[in-house]
Amino acid sequence: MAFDRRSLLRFGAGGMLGALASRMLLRDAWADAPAAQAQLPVARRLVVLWMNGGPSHVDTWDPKTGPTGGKHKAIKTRTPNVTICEHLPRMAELSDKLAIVRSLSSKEGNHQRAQYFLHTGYAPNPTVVHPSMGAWLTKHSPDPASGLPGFVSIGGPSYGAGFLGVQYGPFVLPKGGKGPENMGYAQDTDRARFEARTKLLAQMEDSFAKETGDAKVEGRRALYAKAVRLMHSDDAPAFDLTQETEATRAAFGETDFGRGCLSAVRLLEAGVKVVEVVLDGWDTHQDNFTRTQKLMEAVDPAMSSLIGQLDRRRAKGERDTLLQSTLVVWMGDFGRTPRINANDGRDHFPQASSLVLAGAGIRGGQAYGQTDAEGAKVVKDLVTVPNLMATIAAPLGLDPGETFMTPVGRPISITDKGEPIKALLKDPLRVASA
Amino acid sequence: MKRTFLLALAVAVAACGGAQTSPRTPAGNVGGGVAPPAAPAFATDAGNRMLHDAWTKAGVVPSPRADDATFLRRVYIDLAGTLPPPEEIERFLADASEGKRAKVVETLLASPAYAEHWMNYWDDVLMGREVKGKDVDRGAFRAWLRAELAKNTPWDKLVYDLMTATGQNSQGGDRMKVAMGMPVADPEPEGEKDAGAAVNGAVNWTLRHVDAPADLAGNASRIFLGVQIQCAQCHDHKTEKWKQTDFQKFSAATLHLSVEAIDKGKTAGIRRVSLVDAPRVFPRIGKTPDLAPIAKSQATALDGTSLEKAQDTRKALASWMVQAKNPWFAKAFVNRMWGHFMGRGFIDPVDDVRPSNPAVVPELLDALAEDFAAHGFDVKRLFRNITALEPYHLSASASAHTDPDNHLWGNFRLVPLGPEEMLNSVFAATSLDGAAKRAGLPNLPQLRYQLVRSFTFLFDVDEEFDTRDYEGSISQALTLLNGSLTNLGSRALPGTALEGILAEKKSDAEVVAAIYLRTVGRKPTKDEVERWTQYVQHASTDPPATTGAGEARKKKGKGEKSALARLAAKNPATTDPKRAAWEDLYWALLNSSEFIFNH
Repeated sequence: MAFDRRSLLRFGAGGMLGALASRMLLRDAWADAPAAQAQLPVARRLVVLWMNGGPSHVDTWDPKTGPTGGKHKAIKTRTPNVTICEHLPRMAELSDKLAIVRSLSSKEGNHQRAQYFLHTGYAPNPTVVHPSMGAWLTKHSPDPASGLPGFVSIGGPSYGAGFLGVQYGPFVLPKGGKGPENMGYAQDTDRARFEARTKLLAQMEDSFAKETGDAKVEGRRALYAKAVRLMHSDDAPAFDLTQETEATRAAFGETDFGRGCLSAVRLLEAGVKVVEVVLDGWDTHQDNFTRTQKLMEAVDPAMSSLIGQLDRRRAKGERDTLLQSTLVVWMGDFGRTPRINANDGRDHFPQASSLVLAGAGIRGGQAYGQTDAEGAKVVKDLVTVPNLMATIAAPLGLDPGETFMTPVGRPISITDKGEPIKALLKDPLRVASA
Repeated sequence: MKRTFLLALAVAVAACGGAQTSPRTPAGNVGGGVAPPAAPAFATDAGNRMLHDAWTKAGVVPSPRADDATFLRRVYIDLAGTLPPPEEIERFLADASEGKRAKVVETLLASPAYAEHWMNYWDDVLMGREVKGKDVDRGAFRAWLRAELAKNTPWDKLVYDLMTATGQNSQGGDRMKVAMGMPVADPEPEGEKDAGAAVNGAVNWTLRHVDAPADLAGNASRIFLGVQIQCAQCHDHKTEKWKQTDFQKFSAATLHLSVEAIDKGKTAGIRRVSLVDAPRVFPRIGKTPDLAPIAKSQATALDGTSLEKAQDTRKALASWMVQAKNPWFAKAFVNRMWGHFMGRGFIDPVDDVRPSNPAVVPELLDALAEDFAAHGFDVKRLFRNITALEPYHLSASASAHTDPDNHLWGNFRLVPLGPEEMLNSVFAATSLDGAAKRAGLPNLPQLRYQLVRSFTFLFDVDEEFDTRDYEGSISQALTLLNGSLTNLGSRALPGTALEGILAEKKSDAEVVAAIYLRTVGRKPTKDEVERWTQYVQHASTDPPATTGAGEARKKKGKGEKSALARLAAKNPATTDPKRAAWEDLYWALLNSSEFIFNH
């Protein structure tokens, strides 16, 4: 009763100690490797490309033939025996960098529950709000030196930090390619006037803080200082896509999602740790084939350019490329029924779905897991959502089993007893000798 | 006196009512009869004594009494979700009568803003901030809540009606408009639209949970009993006696829900459905992995009472929950409300009652809960009792001897305004809505809805547990620093508060006083008057090197194509440096912690 749960949360198991522990734990997982050589491919950044509504697995990364295979054809990739949908040609060229997972399976077939599950790794439960994986990483990372937020969500609000506290949640850009709202001075205000005003405010805050002696007033001032720092940050142009060449912008595609992916690259370059870019429209109960084609025509240039640019660019003062430090995840609510319904659509299908991992720590050039001939059932290497979460957490240096106290005094770990899937992760030895 | 007695009788009737009947007969219908022993009335003095004893024991020296202006602002925000108007502040400060604080509580309890405010509170607690569920008509639910709260429906009846609701969800119609809360913002007399269609807005809470009936049981237990039984959904509770089977048995009472479509086929907007209780659990539920163990369980209340004998397990569950002898029901509500008014419950978080999380000053919690149950679960009576107690009248300033964690309310706790409170307060302080109306901007309800939505997203406050630190997002700060509400609201445009003040007040000192009254609800100190009059006078003789227009136009906040942006476009910046200085002062006050916190 005497301890403050929040402070326990803050000063407890988190921070560097936690990260260290997780590395040691992972080292144990590869215990057969000689300890001196064991060096982990630790990712420091995370990009989630969120396919909102539930992307059809059989129309994207797990193509099928036969009556339920649908209208899209399969094409070869650079990886032997791995084919994907014909509307992802540029991604097919990059397949050596991709781990395509075809065997994710869950029970959550309702959008909201599934979205919560795939973001947090936990089924929703009214007694606690779980943090998203992005929030966990934000909590474990120092604030970017640039004054930019640690976590940015583009095209949708993503999921927040739950019991970790709103400060670890995403900074939201409502639309890809558009800068943040309210970051520039208000109309009829310039820097001089803004500074004059904040000076008045500081005087008021001084006296109110003195009068109440409440830490919340100081907390609020610190938050304002952060916001003002962001407004005046040298890296604020990271939000501005006009700084890119026309050719680069065109390569990402003239879509909100394409612009969002280009923003993601620029933000990571400027020190942001987590970016989620949302592509909505995958709930294709009607007209599945026209719609998925259009969606893939947005995904293909945007995602391939994102990976390509991350592979080329470096963050300020860093030697490795962004792709060497960034884990990229493409995923959505759930898969869709192999059965094609009367409206030429496909319905919700959590039993089998596909996702893609790329970048830091990921062993590319493979398709992992398998569904049956129709895509109706996982027949090999079933991946649970907690295990997927652990596979994402591990290369990020987050210990999947690390436990925090929630405000109601409940111990909650980063993943729900998830275990990393070794086959999807790079062998630490290979990285060490590379 | 007579009313008290009748209510007490009603409770007595309810207590023997059993599962089949409604838990209590409406007080008005109870005839004569033999008077039972008078219900114990809660005595403020006794309550204060309990608090003083706790303070003495813990070595806490409470902070001094808050001044009248601070109290008035506080009680307006807590009971009505908005700021007191300046003329009301002046009247209140001038009033020398003894009972004026209690009197203002009465006025607020009777005001339309009271129902509006508590509708927002319960809508948030019960539905969450996002509109959920495909058949959920949030507007109809809000309308139902508001009507019940305005009538001061006894809490046991309100919860019973909510828990057992059946019938039609919605009038149907455009989902967007319904989501916008148009029926609520509708100028038509309330209830008129829904009455004809026999809509029971209460069903929408159950419909929210229809895909996950276990969550319905879990939420009902957490919100109305303060028991987090759902922690035991996945495994036995680690520290408490609850077993997984307890949760399964408790949830089993909610498996009979059935939704019957009224609109068949494709519906463009909200689908009209009817919620009923099916005589038996659908076989498919028994086949759902999560629900199968629940479907196999015998519906049982938390104290072991069987709910299976009743025809309708949902009704049996609700009757068990709201009966006066339920050890959790009255306490859970009192604790939650205490948390709302005092910033921290006797038990914190307010929805986590368990032996290993004991209450502080439990005798006061018990006394308030007893009085609440004994007086027919009269919500307004409880609010009178709570607001009369000493902690509610203390200032926020921490004395040196207050316990550092302040678990005993030795000084008033700062709580940030919630989304609707904030929006109401900005409008009240600036008259920006009036200015928009005067400028002939259409669709004010829509504007308000959009603002509520964005504020809801930005300023959601978790009131259910106490935090020592301020938790906010950068987006919040940017919205208040650069957003149109505070920036337009602080301008002297036709119809805004500042414009009115500048037109009416003669001296600079009078202007400062009026601005303070309007924004932070108090008179400025002598020091403040001096400082700010000097500030504006200095500004008028020595204007800053650059003024508004030029550079700023280019940097205009993006994404504000709203009615407010049009209002801004219609009104170029002032060229009068003194006016600009007044605007600066207004802006700073709207951004100040004194404005943003309830204190």
